[in-house]
Amino acid sequence: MPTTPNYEKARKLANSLLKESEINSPPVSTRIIDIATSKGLRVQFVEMPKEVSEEVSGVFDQKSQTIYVNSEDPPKRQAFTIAHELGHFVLEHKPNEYGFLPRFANVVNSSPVEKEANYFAANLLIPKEMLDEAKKKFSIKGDDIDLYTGTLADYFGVSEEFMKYRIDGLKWQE
Amino acid sequence: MARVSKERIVKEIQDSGKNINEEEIKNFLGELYLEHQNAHIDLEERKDLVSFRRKWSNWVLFFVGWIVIVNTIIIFLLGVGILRFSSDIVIPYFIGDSVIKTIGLAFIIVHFLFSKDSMGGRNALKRSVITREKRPFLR
Repeated sequence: MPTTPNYEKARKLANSLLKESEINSPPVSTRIIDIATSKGLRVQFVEMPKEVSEEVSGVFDQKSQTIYVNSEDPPKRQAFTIAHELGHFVLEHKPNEYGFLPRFANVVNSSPVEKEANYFAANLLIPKEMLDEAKKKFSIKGDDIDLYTGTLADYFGVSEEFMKYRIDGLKWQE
Repeated sequence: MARVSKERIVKEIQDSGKNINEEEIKNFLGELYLEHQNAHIDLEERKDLVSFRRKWSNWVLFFVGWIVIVNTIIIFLLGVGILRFSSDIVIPYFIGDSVIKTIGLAFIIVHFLFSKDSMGGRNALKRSVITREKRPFLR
């Protein structure tokens, strides 16, 4: 298991997947099933077993190459789940290195492979270029972006919390 | 959190044999598209608001500049004795008029053009609050 996340690898893989799928504009989340299918995976929306339905957002079964998504989650969360599990697959994480995706996941304090998968999902669903393009298109400047996190989240088809994580991450990198 | 393994969850899902996939995919795509469209409209509205604000800011600036220039010219002409008013009320009226105009413009600038509430557009702020309340995920 890697001890530190390889963010650069995650970013490059997400970008090349977007190129392969010829996706140039948001929302990527509405194409996320097609992207997963193009990599040979199946996506199944399912009712999770009762005892874990409140806790599990998704799980990837390596044997059947299927991403199971909790049907009770909101669509934006489901899109993140698919992108995150797809991340485990394309980043070639071993099945024993990660478990199911918990519903109330902390995107910051998790294992290196989870961080990599989260970063992959962020780059896939909210590519920096598309975010910059949207900011330019809608004349959103500087710190004003904090006022539009919710609207931009809807525009990109992701949760507001995830959009905030992405914006803060990019601010930190700049 | 329940201590259930990934393998057990997968097995239970596969054993249940329920297939709700098609309907769920329709809902998934439908809601995401709808929210994207609404957000697009909100962002376009906001862009128009910014452009409208910029246009009015320029007009206000032009108007303030005009007041300052006219006042300066009139004061200069009064000072050198070229301009004379027969009535004593003209100068206080003139000064009062300038003060009221300045306060009025400051009020317009603070309350309408650059107020914190209008910076993001009302819809954008309202949507942020709604989204936060409805979707308490990924905390």
